[in-house]
Amino acid sequence: MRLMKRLFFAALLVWSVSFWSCDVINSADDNALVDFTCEGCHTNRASLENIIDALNLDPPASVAEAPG
Amino acid sequence: MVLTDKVLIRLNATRGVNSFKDIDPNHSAIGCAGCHGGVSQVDAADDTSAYRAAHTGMLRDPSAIGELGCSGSSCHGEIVTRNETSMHSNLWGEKAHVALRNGYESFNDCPAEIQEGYTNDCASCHTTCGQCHISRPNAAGGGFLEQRVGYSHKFLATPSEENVCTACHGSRVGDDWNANQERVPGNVPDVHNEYGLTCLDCHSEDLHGEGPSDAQYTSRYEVSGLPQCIDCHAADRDDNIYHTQHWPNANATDGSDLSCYACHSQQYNNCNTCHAGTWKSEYEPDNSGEYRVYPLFKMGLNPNYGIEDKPHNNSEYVAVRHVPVSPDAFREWGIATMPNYSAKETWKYTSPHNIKRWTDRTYVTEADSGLWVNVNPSAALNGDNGYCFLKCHYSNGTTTLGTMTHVAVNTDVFVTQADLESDVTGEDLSDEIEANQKVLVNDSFPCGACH
Repeated sequence: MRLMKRLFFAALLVWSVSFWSCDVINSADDNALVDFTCEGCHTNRASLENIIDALNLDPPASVAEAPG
Repeated sequence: MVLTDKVLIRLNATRGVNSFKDIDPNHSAIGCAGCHGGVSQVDAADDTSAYRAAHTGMLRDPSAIGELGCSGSSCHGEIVTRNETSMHSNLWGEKAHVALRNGYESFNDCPAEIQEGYTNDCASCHTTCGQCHISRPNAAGGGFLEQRVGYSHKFLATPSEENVCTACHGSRVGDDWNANQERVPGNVPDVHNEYGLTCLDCHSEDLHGEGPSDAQYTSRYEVSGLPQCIDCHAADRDDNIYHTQHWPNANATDGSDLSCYACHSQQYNNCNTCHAGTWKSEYEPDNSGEYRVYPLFKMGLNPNYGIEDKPHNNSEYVAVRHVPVSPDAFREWGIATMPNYSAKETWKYTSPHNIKRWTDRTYVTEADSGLWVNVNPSAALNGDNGYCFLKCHYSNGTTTLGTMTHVAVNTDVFVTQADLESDVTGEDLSDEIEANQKVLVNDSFPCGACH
């Protein structure tokens, strides 16, 4: 039983270390937009936010409750 | 949800999601511009100028235009063709009722002001392929169904119940299904919900319709393939004497035919005094506005009972729900009073999604039974050893049996003319009496079963 516990914690440690150098969610947030393609823009949060702010595109976040 | 989240496709290289191709390899082969149009790659100095150049001629929702959208390929042609003419996409029932109440045979016969009013005020609730399978419907705020990495803009064969189905069908189906305590206090979730079923466990191809014939329908209940209780519960017919006597089989000789909902529904939302074009401004969550929502259960007569080719024609008594249409409901369209308002009932057949085994009508204690407990000892017992007919059989107080005049009982269960003269909100709805002549239960019943 003790061995199983040690193996479990060892596996947990290896698993967590394996993510040490992970990118944050949405790895394209680094403004590495170079080609101005559809996918290039729509996978880049920072770029989208810049455009939305610049052109005041953001509508209200919510809508009236659907009546159905 | 802010706009950024509505249009951001989330990637994460660590999780192996490097491009849209990793999210949806089949649709990525078409390419963004293949569906949305626009310019797929631009030469621009900055994000803003790139935005303007790239979105020239772009379609936000290509599936709204069949040939340019999902039916443009051989992949989804058949289902998209059906959906284009479906009740779900076209709201034929609403259109038919608008036409009939205004004295026209069909919606296409209606004058421009009615068609335009309907398009502006009512048609916005329809949906498209994309607004169920990729994003939330526009009427519910839009935005991708899933925000998780690997799921944004993913084509989901099974739409989300929360973000699609009840996002639109919220105040009736959603509140009932989930027992929203603010709207239907004291209710419990539909028993099917509690057992883990979802909308799509019962509804499937009925949502996509049959084809062009759908345009002839005046009610969603006419769509073939609509799920019915009997699809799963046929074997329950002889579970107890109440099922045996009241099973909806269009045969009153073995007992009155009741829809399943007549006994097994909890209270549900009803609405009053909504007016086209103004419901959003009139509606207030606390019901202080003109548009009012209130919970209620009512049973009424079924105008379709025994009529061939009519939906749910095997039930004489059905659950009915008040729909918010008054004679001047379309005043914003220039129609002071609908000329043929009484053409269709305003207490309409309903199928509340709040099914419960022991409801106010089926759960009866022996104490409730009182002197009646020995009336029919051969009857199967329900609830806590009471007879459920005691919570359902109805007298308006004028029934005479020999020299005895029956006291009024269970008057709140049925919709009567008195309900319309002053409804539970205190409103005078007497201008709806003529429209509901085939629904109102004004006579006591049934006497012979016990006496």
